[in-house]
Amino acid sequence: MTGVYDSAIVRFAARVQAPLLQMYALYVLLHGDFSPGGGFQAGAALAGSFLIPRIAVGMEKGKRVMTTPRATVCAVCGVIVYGGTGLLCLILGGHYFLDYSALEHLPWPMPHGGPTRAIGSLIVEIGVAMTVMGVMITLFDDLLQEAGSGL
Amino acid sequence: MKWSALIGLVFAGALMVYSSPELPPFGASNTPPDTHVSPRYIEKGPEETGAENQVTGVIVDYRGFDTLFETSVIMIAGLATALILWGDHRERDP
Repeated sequence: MTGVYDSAIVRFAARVQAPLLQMYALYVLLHGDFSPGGGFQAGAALAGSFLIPRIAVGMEKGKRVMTTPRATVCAVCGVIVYGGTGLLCLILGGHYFLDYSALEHLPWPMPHGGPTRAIGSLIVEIGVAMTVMGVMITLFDDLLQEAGSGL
Repeated sequence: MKWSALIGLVFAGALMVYSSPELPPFGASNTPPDTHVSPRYIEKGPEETGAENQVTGVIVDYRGFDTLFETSVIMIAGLATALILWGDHRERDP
């Protein structure tokens, strides 16, 4: 089943836009430490990139890569990544939960001081982005499941 | 039950109005958050957190706990909404 307006233009636009949006989301995520951006915004952009195919080519085809269960699992995993980083910091000898300096004690060589904390915050931002993306996709799919015949 | 909720609401509102004159005036620069933590964030943020962007430094490093539970709230709210929608769907076509 294709979208409501089955046109080559719409399909082509979706095919061009979705990967671009994904790249942009990764850029926003990775540059959160240096410029405006971060996990929440990147998650929203990532979710948009997975929702474009659903709108352009229909729910059934659009769901092929990021299915609803996968999105939900992704949302839960994001929180686990975040909390897991905090726990890892405690296990590695940090003084408090989310003490990123403790990541220096990982078994492979790590930079000292500020950069280590930046790596910790990057991992945490990835978790936030996963959660936001998963929740947005899950809600979109669940809201449209009854109107699914239309899209 | 509804009456008790209304009474509680009125009580909470009255408490809020009663305490509002104690809030610092708009734009005041001598409040505890501005004199205590903000200068530290601005002066030592990049060096202590390793994040050039001060907002990111505050959000995920100084206030990492806050963001952790913000994320949990998003996940719980989203999953709860999804579960409600699923339940509705199942009731309609048994």
